[in-house]
Amino acid sequence: MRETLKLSLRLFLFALVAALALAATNEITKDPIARQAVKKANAARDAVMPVYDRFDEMELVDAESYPDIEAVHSVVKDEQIIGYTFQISSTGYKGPIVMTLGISSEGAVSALSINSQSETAGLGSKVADEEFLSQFPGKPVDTGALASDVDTISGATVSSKAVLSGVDQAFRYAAQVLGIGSANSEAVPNPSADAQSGATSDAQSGATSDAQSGATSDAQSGATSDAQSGATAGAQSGAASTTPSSATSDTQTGATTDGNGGATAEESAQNGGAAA
Amino acid sequence: MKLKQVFTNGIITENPTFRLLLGMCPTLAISTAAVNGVGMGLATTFVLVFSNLFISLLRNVIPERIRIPAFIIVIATFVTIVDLSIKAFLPALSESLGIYIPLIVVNCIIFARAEAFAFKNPPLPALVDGLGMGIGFTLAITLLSIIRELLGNGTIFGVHILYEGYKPMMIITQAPGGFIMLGLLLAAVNALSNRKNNA
Repeated sequence: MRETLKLSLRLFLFALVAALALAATNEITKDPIARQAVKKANAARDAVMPVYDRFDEMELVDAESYPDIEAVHSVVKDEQIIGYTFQISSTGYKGPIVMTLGISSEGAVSALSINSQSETAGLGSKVADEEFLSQFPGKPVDTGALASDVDTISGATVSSKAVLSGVDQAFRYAAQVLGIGSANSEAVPNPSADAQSGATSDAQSGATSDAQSGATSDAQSGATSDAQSGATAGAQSGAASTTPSSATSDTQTGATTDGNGGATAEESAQNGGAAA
Repeated sequence: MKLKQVFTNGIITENPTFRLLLGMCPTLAISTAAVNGVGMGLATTFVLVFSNLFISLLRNVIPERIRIPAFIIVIATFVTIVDLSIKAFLPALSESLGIYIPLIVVNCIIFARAEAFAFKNPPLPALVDGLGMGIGFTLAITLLSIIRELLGNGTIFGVHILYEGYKPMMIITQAPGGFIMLGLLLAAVNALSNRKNNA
């Protein structure tokens, strides 16, 4: 018993010294680390909206419906709001993909940039490449356009969908809360956030969720989305064309998330996605 | 044991990656790009040197029966210091190495050297052993990384080496490729050292 006490005391002493050393290190490094985080976030905002006087952080409205949106800033120039930036964190194939989306007040995407991702090197990591990101500038803030006009990356369906799903959520926020753009089509599902159910993603669809559940293959998705339009009554643009593509891509992504998304499975999934 | 011998031991005779086969997890996971290999190797070397040094300095103060928790405290403290420092001052490296920096704690090389060498030897040899093992590990992981980056991406340290139309071998940068390349490298190392021993 005395032996145990002595040993415990000794160990406690070591732990105490270690804790003090770590506390000291933390004191020294915590400011630079905080500064890095702020710099990175600002740099990301700056990268997507280069023309501005300042970014004003906005309070998040209805945060539960938009779980992936971490922050919304308004872009102010000459005391006018000329656009908004969204900091989004989607569940990717291997971890969170943090990205920044910039949109103008007129309802067009200024740019999308990836802050951080830990996807498969050479495959999913390509979401951070110019080739993929260059599809976004200029696109209208319209969830229908997102599903049909943006190509996913060959062999990296899950990572691509994760990005698209995050951007989709931002578009919805813009349409439903800020009154910019339109969100009249079905939500882009995030295959990673929904690894369990495989097909429909409820967590991602926000306002469309419950009405949607059985309705993935339902061509009437235009009808369900009415339930949530506070959105500008824009043309029901992609309603018809998006349904088939989301339907096919659901089954594909369901297939890819099983097992481990080996190269062949992703290839065939991509072919289905590209054809859509 | 002479210091020079202690040093070269970690690089050649008892290279942690190719001879002792320790620290395989970070070796396989990190070696997809050469710059990551170097960064990881240097971070591990730092931890190795200081943990060996401190454990050796404390070897008469640490009771044998609690030596393992004591090692862990020392190693984890230094790894955390490295992790916080890299996050604060080298954020780009922190991004690419990600979670593998904190995982240095469970890198078997460090624990093995603490147990097999530092706990039984004076500080200076322990420090030199840590340095040698760390450099040996860095060289090994960098070599593997260069090969994997070259074949899997066509670049070395980000510089395009292979011809334009080169279609990268995707599998090389993923886990199976890591195992395969490591196996081939081990075979090559064994062949070389057998030839040297028989010569």
